[in-house]
Amino acid sequence: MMDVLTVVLTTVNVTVILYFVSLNVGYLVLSSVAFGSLQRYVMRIKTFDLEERLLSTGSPPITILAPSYNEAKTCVDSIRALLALKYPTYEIILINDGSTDDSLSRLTDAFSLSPAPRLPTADLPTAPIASVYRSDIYPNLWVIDKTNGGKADALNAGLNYCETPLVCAVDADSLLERDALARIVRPFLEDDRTVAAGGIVRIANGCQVEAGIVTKVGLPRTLLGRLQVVEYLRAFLAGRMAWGSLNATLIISGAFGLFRRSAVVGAGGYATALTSGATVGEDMELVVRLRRYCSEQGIPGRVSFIPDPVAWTECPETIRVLSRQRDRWQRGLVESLWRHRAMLLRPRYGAVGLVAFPFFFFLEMLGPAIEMVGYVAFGVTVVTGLASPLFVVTFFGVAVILGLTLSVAAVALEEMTFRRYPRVQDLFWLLVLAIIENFGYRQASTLWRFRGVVAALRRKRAWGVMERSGFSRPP
Amino acid sequence: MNGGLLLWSPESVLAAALVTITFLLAVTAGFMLVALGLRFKNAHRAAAWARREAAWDPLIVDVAHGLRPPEDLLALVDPREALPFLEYLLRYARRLRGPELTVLHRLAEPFLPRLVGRASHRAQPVRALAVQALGALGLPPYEDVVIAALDDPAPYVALVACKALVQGGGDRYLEPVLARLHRFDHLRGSFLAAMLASTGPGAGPALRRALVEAPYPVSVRIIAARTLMEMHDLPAADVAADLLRHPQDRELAAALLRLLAQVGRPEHRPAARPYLEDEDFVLRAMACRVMGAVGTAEDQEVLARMLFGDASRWVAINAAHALLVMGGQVRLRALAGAAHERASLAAQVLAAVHHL
Repeated sequence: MMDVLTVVLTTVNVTVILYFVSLNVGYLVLSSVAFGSLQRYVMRIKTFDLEERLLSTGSPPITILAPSYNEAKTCVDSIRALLALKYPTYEIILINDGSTDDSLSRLTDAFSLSPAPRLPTADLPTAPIASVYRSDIYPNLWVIDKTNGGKADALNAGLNYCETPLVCAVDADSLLERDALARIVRPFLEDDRTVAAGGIVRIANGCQVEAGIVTKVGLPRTLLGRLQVVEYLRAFLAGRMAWGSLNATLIISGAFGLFRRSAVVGAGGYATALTSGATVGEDMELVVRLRRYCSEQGIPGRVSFIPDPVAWTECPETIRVLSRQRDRWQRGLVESLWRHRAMLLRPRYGAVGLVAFPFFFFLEMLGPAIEMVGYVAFGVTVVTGLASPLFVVTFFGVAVILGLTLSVAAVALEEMTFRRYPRVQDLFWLLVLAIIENFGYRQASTLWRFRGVVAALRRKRAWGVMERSGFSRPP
Repeated sequence: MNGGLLLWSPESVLAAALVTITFLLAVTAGFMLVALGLRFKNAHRAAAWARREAAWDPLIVDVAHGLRPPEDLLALVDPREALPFLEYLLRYARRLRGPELTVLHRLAEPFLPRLVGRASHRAQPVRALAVQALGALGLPPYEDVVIAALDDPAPYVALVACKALVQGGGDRYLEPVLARLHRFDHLRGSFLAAMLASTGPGAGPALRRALVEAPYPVSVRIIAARTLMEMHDLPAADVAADLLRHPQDRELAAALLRLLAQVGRPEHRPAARPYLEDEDFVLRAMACRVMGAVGTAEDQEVLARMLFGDASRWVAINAAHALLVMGGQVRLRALAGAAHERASLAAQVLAAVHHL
């Protein structure tokens, strides 16, 4: 009996250690790649003249799609912010996805909406459209009122009415910086093969917002919010920057991404129950599918990440809401990767099939499950005396310090590049947060993601409710 | 670890772990110091910039407008501040033209030789910045360096050189730029066209030649057509119409039709009309636009039929807009009232007029 247990524990522990080594070596490599890429990028944007871009007739028109469901508290502010963007030609389509609150009436009052004819330009299947409105004050603002069908369905409805070559998907509660469109369009101008580009998402909690514009950057008031700031820096400045420079990006945040309309429509639009099957991770699924579609159709398709266009978003500040969000993100990741598992280790998909997909599949997707099993197995190993507690403590020590290294590296990357947190005490806080997130927060995050894996296996589709408090205004 | 859980002895595992921990702690401490060091370095740099701007700002506008001699400002520039000073001038050079820009050139002159070496630096961002500054502040004296950068192995540096020549030299450097334009095939056409169009109307003859002449690859001819459209170059209409009378590459034909829609005259109508029946929907859509600009009452019938009957919605949208441009509002109103799924398109186009 003891022999069997020993073999089982040996196998599990070796698997966990291999996973741990691969994951962290992967992260260290990504951070190094990101370091070089960011350094080059920051030098390059010195030759970029924003004013020239704003005056140029060469900037392609863009349609912003803002799906909205019960966002009455923030939708008017968000649209005002979108209307204030600096870009030569753009349209905004807000898709009211069957909100049960007073979103539509607030929008109608604020922007003087009235019904207007508009012919769809594509036929992606969606829930029924009730009406199309146009603002009498802002001719570039349209609102599509439709039966509830979920975020992806709302985005598809917007795509159906889009008339421009580029389409920008944003969350209705996100705040784009004024020059965000002028910046994010760059990859499309500089490389005609670009089919999608993502910008950075930063946390708005704790920032001062006036008329939909972040005027003063600060850290969230709660510890939970602050911990997410470091997490976002790590994910975007290290992870996505590195994948982008390897042309292996698999995720563009739903909060802010720019796409070539024809490619998205060609690939079948966002995944819904009416198209290729619903998923809670429609943003990632679309990018993975675009990659697959372009490779299979022989279309040169590049997906970029650029770190200077910013979307500010409100993050959850209670454990309950945060755990649901992470659970959902993990479910989305599992569903997207599993659906496109045919890309795994297939050379025809290039760096995506051979590097990014395996990394996400084995380490990001299965990681939380392996880690959870590891915690239990290590516990049993110690209790049964098969390993010394000192060994286990040492192993966790390495894990914690490696996590610390990666987080501090991300803070250093931020300091090296954009320095959006101007106060010295904010920088100290970020460094302290990089330390304390390793004690409890990361383990909790693993647990939430593990629940996401389990939920994905059980094919759970619920989104959970994001409780919004609205952006903070100056006193 | 007991029980043979690992191949290595417990002591060696622990030793390796301790070494790893020590190493990682050192790396982490290094990153922390880097972050803090960068914060203080950047604060210091920002303070230095603020000091320089406080010294230079009061003079730059007067000097640029010729109210004070350049020497007054140059006297305030320490030789060690050459690069920051050029960066400072570059901000204004992007906005100024004419005599004011000439003054900036004079201000930059003593410091520009330092950039020549940087234009061949091994790091491409350094080369790009040097080429950009030489293009904005040093043309024509440093034209050789900037033109040579068109052949830089890094396409990005070549693009910066291209922009610098176009913006700093107008149509003077169009020939070398057109000769290398194929290097930028990966760029979005409208972006390149807008850039070339900024050279001004003097570029028309060279672009028209590029449109016709065989040595230029199709991609360059397409950009030439788009640029002529951006420039509203009226003589280009004849060239485009002549070319459209013969079979052309699909994308070139589309660019020529777009050009005709912008600058065409009624006599060019016969060259574009056959494309209304082309099997490619892009060409049909572009031909609709041309008809909107140069068509006759007879074409209104065809466009109305295309609005309701063409398989492509993009063609229908262009047909509706063409009808509107041709003054066919009455016809559009009638179509908007019809019992047809595309009636709303006619209504949409009419509503757009109402909003304007």
